[in-house]
Amino acid sequence: MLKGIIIMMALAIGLAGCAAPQYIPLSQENAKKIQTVNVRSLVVQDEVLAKADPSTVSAALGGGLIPALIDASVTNARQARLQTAMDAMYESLEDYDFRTIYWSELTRQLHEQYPFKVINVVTTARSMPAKDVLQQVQNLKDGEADLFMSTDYYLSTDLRSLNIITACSLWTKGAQEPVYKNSLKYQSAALGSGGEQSAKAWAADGGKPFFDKLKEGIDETLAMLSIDVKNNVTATAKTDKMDVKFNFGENASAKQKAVNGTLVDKRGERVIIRGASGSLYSLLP
Amino acid sequence: MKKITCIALMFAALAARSALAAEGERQPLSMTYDPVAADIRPVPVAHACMLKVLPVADERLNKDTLGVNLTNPLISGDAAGWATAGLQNLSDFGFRIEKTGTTDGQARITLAPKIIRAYTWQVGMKLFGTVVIKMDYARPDGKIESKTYRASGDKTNMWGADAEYVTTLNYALNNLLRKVAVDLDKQCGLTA
Repeated sequence: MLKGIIIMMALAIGLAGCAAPQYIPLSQENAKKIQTVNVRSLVVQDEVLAKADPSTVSAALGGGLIPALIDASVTNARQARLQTAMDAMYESLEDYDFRTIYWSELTRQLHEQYPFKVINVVTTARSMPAKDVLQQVQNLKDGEADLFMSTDYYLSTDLRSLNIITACSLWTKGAQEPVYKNSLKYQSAALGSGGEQSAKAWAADGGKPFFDKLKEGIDETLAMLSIDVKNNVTATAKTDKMDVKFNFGENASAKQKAVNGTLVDKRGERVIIRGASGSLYSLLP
Repeated sequence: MKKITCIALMFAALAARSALAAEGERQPLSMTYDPVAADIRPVPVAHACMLKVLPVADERLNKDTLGVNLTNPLISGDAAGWATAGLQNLSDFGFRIEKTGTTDGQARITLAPKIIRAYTWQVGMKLFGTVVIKMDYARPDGKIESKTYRASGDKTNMWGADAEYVTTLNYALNNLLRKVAVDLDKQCGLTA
């Protein structure tokens, strides 16, 4: 128990204040060094999840065994309720394979539109520990870079919005830290009135609403991936500051209604904005 | 002060992390069925008949992994063997299980199971596991009925160990067995 608490407290409280930067923009200088890119795309999940917001009593009280147990109990109750509501969706969508849908699009679009020449795309369900990443980039040749992508997809805790979150980092030979790093966050339009009603709505018509948004999310993710490393994107980005509505789920506070950011691109009805931490968001205003 | 706290917490996390890495990184997990990992103990059903349980076929789209522990991949062990062992535990609900290889046809219902999902995930201090099994029920009159069962299980992350993720799957499988037992109770009642 103690070890579990140490790990979770370190992750939940301590490291938040001393974490590495979430956003490292690709500098012109580093971009010029890159001729070819190898991509490793990780998808851990076997199917869409609705992950409960973890209880944060322990963090608020500064830790301790009893607050940790309270957190575990509250989180468990929240997740159990979500699982029950999600059954309405799972019943109709038992055996789809997000990886197949995503990776075929990823491979095609990387070869067609990524700003650097993509040589190799490795797709995997196996995460790679940080030490292995550091070891792998030691073996890169001059002009070569490795792009590590990790994609999660889940419904918001009110089950109304589909989120696709991709963490990516670009590494050059022998680097101790990435030359580019960011999170790309897609959120769909909200569907239904929440809970089981939304879960059923996603699964309606053989899951068409769900698969349509998965496809949209994949396209938006890959667009953000390219936009973020394109030369001059920072210089040419429109400087309009805007608030774009964002579904933070059922446990959001009254203040959590929108993401504030700088407009980077408009794609049909959607906008891509850069949030305060540097993350890119694809949202529907 | 903040720096010292940060360093201490990072050290604690890294120390724990190193220990995890030393516990057999990228080796398939030992998937041992555990009947004790159950939220509710099995209770004998009203209509228990003899069953023939065929070995579980592994039809998971992802046979490679069961999830991730921090950044360490959880490599799947023998999920089919694990689920097959679990289904033998239907005997705890009162069903008699025909021995493998028996051909005298005493079983009233033959179960042909396929495991299609087995995965874990984490939220805060909690670990969760989900198991999905498609089951074909064959009766002596040749009638076959199919049903898909899904169940989840959970446990608190006590040690950050890979084996704890397998435990969540055992909870999930035992929750799934209860659903199967409810249906078998009805089926056995019909064939009595």
